Amino acid sequence: MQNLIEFIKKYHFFLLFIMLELISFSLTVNNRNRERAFFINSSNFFSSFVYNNFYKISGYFNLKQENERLIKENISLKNSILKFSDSDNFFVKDQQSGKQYLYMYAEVVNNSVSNQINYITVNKGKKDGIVKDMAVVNSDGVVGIVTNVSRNYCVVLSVLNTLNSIGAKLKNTEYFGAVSWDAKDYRQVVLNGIPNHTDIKKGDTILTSGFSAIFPNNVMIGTVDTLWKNSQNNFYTIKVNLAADIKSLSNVYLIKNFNQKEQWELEEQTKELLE
Amino acid sequence: MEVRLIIRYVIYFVSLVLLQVLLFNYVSLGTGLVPYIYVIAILLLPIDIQKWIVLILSFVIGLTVDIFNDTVALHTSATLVLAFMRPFVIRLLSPEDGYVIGTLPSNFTLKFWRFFAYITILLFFHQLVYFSLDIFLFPKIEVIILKTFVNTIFTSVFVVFLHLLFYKNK
Repeated sequence: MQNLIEFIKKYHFFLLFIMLELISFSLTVNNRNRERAFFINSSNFFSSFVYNNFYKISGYFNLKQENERLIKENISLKNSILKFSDSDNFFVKDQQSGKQYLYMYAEVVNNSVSNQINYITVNKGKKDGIVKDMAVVNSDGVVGIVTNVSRNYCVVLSVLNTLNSIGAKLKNTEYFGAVSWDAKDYRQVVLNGIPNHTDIKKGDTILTSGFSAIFPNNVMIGTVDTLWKNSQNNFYTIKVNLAADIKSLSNVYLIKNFNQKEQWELEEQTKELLE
Repeated sequence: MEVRLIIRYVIYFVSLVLLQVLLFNYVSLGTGLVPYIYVIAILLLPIDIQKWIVLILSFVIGLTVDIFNDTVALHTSATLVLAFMRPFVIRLLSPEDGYVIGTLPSNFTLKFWRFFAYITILLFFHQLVYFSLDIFLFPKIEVIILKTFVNTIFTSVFVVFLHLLFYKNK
């Protein structure tokens, strides 16, 4: 016994090392199979707490790259989904390319909401295939229409303008009207042309009608905020909360309608025929 | 050991582990190498500290880093070996007139080459054990040796740099 204690005293460093090393080896061997690693891993309470809180901060550093990656993915998904969603009639619409709309991505370089007619400048131009009268949306809803194109940039007439209006309709109905801006609040537009016998209430969704051949069908415009019946005619005047926050735009999609020209020419010809 | 010194070492300990898992784990420079700077906590303990305390501390810090890194006790084994080798390396590199009691093995108490040798030799064993156990199932001796050498130098540079940055001459 005396000898044993002496031995332990003498070699305590080496013995402790061997003991701890054995514990560590046994942990390694027992947990080598990752499915059974229940104790020593980063999903336990303490380390996941640290990692989660750190990620809250560090996540901001690569938001930009992450955003761009998601946008690219979104574009390819949107382009591929169009092939399926319109499958009933897309062969009639465009037999050559197989699709009617093409989404492109752009970043906003200049923007305003304070004027009567507001323009947004984005960083895609002729060299990227942008042409006049393309639709501009972001992931929330409509933004505007391309009005002027240079080599590297294009100027978008924001939905916040008093010049022209966008064809709109009430979701799940065929009632349509036109959305324009009264230059009062950059978060709201006015929808006219919905007949006052329609069952419509606050919170209803307003979508694009797609009649003008600029915007695709069923793009989000906003939701009904307030509405009142007009005394002069039989239509509602409806204030619509814009889905897209025009004031804080950063990334937008430009949508090209390959059949726009064809539709407009046909409509023009028909008018001439009638005259 | 004084209470103040103990508190200081606890703060070192915690901040080194956090630095390791939150920052230096991602400083791979695209090479797959990682500077394991948390070993500073063991390397820069006072020279005459009880050897068994060093072992216990190595076990704790190794296990903590393992928990964060999902490396099943690899760091624990490696750091224990480092702690075990430490007294021998300290004796091997002792200056002609011996160490001053209570000093840290640092650039200020040793000549630079002694200090660098001290770090590199200990890190070599640390990395050797780590990579041997890590690649254990696929016995590729040349990969183990290569990784050990390269990562030893890589980590040493970081350790010296951090040491010069944060430890004052006393």
